[in-house]
Amino acid sequence: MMTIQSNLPTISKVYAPLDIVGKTVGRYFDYKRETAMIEHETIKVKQQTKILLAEIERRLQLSLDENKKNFKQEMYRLKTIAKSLKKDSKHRDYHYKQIEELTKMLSNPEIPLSIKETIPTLMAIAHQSIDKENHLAMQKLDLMRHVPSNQILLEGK
Amino acid sequence: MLPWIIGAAVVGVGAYLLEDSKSENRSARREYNNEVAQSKSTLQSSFYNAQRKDRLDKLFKAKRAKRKIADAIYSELKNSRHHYSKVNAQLKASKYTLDTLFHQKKYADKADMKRSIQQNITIVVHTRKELFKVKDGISSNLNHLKVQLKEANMATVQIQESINHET
Repeated sequence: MMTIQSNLPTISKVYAPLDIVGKTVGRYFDYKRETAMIEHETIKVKQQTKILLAEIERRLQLSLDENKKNFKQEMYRLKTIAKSLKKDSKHRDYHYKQIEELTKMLSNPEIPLSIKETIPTLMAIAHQSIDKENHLAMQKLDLMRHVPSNQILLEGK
Repeated sequence: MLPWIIGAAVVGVGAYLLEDSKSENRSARREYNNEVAQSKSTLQSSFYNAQRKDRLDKLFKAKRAKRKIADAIYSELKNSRHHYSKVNAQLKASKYTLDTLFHQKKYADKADMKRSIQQNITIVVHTRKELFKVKDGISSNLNHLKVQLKEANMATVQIQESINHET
């Protein structure tokens, strides 16, 4: 038994070079596989970057569209109130015109005293109307201001 | 001898191939790292630009809206100023009427005439009281509108400053 064992060549002597070759080939393929994986990852990064850029662009467009919509609504609101204010201002002009006419009547000697007596009352009525119109105008202006446009437009509704 | 030469050649080719794949691997890794860094910076700058664009768009729109409000307030203010001067003119005219009536009363010799003039005076005085009320109303309105206009202009200026800051 001892003789047979001592006559056999040692494993390391015969297989060591093959082992080195095998390991080297293995490493070569490992590198190749890893390189392929890295290249694949690089392509993936490029693709994901493209996707993310498109997403950023899409979200920006959405936000710009939202801004446009909010702005349109806000301007419509403001224009409607401004139009209404102009209309009210015409009514007020009419009352001021009345006051002017009444004041002119005071100095007109041809107008009888009985008619002139009604002037202060008519003036008070015109004044009340003007007060009401002014109050309404202020309320409308507050409505324009108190929903701050920049809040709507900068932060969204 | 030949096996040794073949062996050496095989080892040489093997070492060359291994080194080649190693360097290929290194360059692929470098390219990957570059790509990741470039992607990060591209995405960051793109995101920042998008945010800036969006914010500027909002600011420009807010400025236009604020200007519309300021215009409406200014229009009201202009009207009030116009009416204020008109009412002032009427107060002056009525004062002149009142002075004339006092003068007439002073030189009127008949009692009927005096009574009639006095009635006229009373009417003018009452009318003037109402006119003063109208004037006071416009005056307080004017003050209120001036404050509002100042606020609206300030808001527009602030938005403009933000725009300047962004650009």
